[in-house]
Amino acid sequence: MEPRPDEELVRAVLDGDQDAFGDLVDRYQGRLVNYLYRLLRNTDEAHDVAQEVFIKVYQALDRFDPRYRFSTWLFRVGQNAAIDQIRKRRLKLVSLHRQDDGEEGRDWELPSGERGPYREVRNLERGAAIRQAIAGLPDEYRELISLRHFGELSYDEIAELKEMPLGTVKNKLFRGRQMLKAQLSGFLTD
Amino acid sequence: MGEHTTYLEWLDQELEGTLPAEAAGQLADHLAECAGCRHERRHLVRLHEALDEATIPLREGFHAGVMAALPAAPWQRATRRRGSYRLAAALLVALAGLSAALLALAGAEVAPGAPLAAAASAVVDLLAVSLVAGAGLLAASWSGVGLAVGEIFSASPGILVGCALLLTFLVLLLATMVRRPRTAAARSPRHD
Repeated sequence: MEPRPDEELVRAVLDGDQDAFGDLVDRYQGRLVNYLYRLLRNTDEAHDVAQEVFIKVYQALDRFDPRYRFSTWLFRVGQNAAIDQIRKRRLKLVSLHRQDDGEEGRDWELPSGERGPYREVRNLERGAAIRQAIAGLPDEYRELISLRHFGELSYDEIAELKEMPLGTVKNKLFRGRQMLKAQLSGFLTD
Repeated sequence: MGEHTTYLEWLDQELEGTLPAEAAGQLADHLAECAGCRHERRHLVRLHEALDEATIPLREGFHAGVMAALPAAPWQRATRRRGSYRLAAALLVALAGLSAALLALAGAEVAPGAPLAAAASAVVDLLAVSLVAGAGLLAASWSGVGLAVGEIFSASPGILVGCALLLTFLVLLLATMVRRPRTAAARSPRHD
């Protein structure tokens, strides 16, 4: 059975079917949390901000412009909420890097078919290396990589969200991945 | 070098599923001959896999938490308000219809030849009498208010101050009730 399009679910919610909003949350929760995590670099904050974003979007659902995609609207609200959150942090004079500890490192452990201490150590190292490589990308590349690989948005959706020509999005993603590949070359070999 | 840069771009597009079929054929031919590009492709595939796997799991109960935290949206309240207005308007129309029917019946008894003219004349008479009665009541009320104010001013200063305090309290209470609460969560998200 074909999944119901986002716009149809939005109409259903506005007609009083709250379960339809549950379907939208189900569809986007993992992608939004992971995207916010790349921006905020904190698991708890990513979840809290994602919840806030869903609530904001729900409250403003009657103002959703159907000329645009729901996904791009949701991620734009998410992006603004993350920026607000980072501003709040700065006001509190909390370091942006305070979460670079073991707890966050665990999130980056990569599943492996093989077992054994050597493989586990290598996965941990690779997870940390990916985290550092993404964090080290210039902002514009990091954001596009996050939208594509963690927000799972299509090139068209990213172009709409960032108001960039499609060719620019493709080019920047290509360059961003080349940068990552160069930085991670030691972890991508046989 | 320039040729390999093009193939690198094609490799990237291939893994993203956006490479046109014609270019895909040329890329396959090149890969069959070029060990360097095959090596690049293996690295790119691993990079994609690593990125795909590097996701954080959702907090347990996240979905339920979001659904439980949903407040009544402004658009839901507007729908309810529209519903209540519709009910009031329907009642008004029903009452107007009933009144018109009763007037027409009464008019038919008074003047069987012209029931509508008789009904209209009766309504005009009713309005005229109401206006006269209303004006009389208003004049009497103002006289009453004038007498009461006169009594307050002629009374002791304590009663005067007490009345002033009571009036201030009532005004403040009304202002508090009228002012609309506004929370941060109620602000609409930015669309730009």
